[in-house]
Amino acid sequence: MRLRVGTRLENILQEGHFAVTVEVGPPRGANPDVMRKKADLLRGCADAFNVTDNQTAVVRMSSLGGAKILLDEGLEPVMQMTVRDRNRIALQSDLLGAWALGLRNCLCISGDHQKAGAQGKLKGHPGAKNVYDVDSIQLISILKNLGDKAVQEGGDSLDEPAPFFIGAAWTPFAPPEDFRVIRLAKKIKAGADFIQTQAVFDVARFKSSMEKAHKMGLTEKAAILAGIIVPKSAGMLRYMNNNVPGVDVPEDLIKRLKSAKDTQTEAVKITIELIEAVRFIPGVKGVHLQAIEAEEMLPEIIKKAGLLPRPKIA
Amino acid sequence: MDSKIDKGKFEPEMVVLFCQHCMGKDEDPKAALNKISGLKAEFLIMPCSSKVETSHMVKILADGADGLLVVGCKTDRCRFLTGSTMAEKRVDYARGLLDEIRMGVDRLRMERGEELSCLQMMALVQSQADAVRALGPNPMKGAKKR
Amino acid sequence: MIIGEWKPIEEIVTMLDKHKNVLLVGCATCMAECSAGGEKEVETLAPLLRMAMKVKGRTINIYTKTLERQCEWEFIEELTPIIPKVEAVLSLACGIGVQAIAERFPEVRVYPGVNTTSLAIREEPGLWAVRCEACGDCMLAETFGLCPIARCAKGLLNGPCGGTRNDGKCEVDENVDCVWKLIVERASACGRIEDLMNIRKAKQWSHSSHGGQKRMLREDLRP
Ligand code: SF4
Ligand code: SF4
Repeated sequence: MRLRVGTRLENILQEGHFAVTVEVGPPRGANPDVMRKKADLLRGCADAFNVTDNQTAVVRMSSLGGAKILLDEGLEPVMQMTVRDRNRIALQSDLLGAWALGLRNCLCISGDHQKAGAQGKLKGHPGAKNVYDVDSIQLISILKNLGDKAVQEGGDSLDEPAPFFIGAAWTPFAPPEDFRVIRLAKKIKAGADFIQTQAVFDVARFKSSMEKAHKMGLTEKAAILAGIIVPKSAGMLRYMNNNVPGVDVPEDLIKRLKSAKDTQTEAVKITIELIEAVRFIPGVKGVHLQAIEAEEMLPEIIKKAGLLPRPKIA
Repeated sequence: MDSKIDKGKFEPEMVVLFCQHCMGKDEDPKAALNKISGLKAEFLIMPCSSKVETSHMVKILADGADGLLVVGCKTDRCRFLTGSTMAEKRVDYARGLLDEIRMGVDRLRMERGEELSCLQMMALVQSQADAVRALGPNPMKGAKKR
Repeated sequence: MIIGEWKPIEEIVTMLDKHKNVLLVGCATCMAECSAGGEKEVETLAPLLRMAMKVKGRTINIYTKTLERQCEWEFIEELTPIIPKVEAVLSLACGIGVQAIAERFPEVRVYPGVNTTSLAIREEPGLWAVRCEACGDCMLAETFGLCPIARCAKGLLNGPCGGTRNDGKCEVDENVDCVWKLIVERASACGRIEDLMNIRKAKQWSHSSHGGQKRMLREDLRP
């Protein structure tokens, strides 16, 4: 099969390897060394590295800037792009700039509302004016057209195409649950090449969502990477279960982590079990790992899960 | 405001809005009032405490009354079921406004009673007057153009 | 209707700081309906402002008037006899009414007493909620009569974001239903869920205020 873009991630998926992506949050500051340190820590552990775009609407180094630093360090970034802060003009312009700098993977998401930032420890910018000129599905279409047809959303043509390997998010469990797979289908129809899901803790429930996606033929059309968040503590699991939409943590898991003698060891164990469990669900083509503010845990987890070394690509 | 006013001697002028059902049938608060020396109050009877509007309450205070007491029926005894509850919500809202302009929320209060005797009513007024006394006279005193 | 709510009294008091004679004007239409600027509110705010000023050691003379509609020239004319007596007008109309008065009486300062917030419906007594954002390109036909522009915090056009809470409320406000959940439910109730499969293209915001100042011209109605 011909590669659409030729990124490492695309290659890995196309060659049938079980892909590993991890999330790298840019710093709340302008120091490039923070990104470089994370690159050193995670080099070789994953096929691609998601760089978040002002997650929870808290201002951080841009995903474009952060992704470029990773690229310079020899890691393959996935630039995340939300539609919260930029209109179609800015989005497309940044995409062209990103492409020119060598970035080729892009994950298209709605983004947390700016009021979400105010709910955490940080102030964020709840008084900001948001944009939401296009939605995440429309952004996927925009990327598709920049790459396949070399045309902008408004109809003007580009000098030459700027193809991206296009990613999208999927939250299978949030209400209205029956519609979630339809929304996934829309994203794939719009042009998504790969999908990273919201964190999975309830494997059985995820399996049944995957079956629905499989029946609709979606697992053939796009590569679904199961999202896995390293559970740092029982409190964090409880918090996510109660407060993070679409995250459903079985009570047993919370209890298990709570009663563990060594939380960290148990957390690693749980993560590895989750990876192994989702790995054998038909249609799951990889995992997307997040260790929020604990990225140093990832190399060990990935190694113990038997996912190292990452395959070489031709 | 005249700071020389001795708050101990200041006798607030009260207005009492009360629902006809919360006092005993033959009780006459005006007559009873005369028997209590010093207490100054004007009694206005309403068919139901829910008839009180925010604008009435604010106006009574803006016209110079030092304190305003709204007396309604007990929650479960209101003839109009939710009348006294509605009145209480409005009183709370109006108290919020008084707070916003720093007039002192305690100039306005709601009490509830059932078949009150004159004596009981006077006790309510007296206790509200004590609260108002602490706030001093209404700066709007004498504002009402007659 | 248009909804709004009183500005903080402190802000109003500061606005009126330099004035001795003020006309407080209500509007008996939308602002009366949403209990922000009808006759009742005018008659509450006027004594309240007198007190607020007095507390600060100042006196103010407030005239009051409530017009049938503050956004129509013919009703605004009713203010003509009072305007010469005042230095300022405090309007409890929506922003349209405030501007109409400012336009008609340029000789006085005009202040808004209300923050106009949205185009809404009274869902229940004492509870109003947004329904429309005047986007100029109504898409209610495709969304089963529920507006995702006004009622989705992100104005999404192709289905719910991943943030819908487990109880179906919006990620941004635990008291508000995720409108996309409602749209999906209504579509299912009509047996037309497949209508929501279509990918809705990027919206042409040029029909809304994003496209510049809106005007509407009907030659047939002009003198
Ligand atoms: S689609 Fe536009 S015009 Fe229609 S209700 Fe929504 S905002 Fe108003
Ligand atoms: S939860 Fe629903 S209403 Fe709220 S932003 Fe997301 S899609 Fe819109």
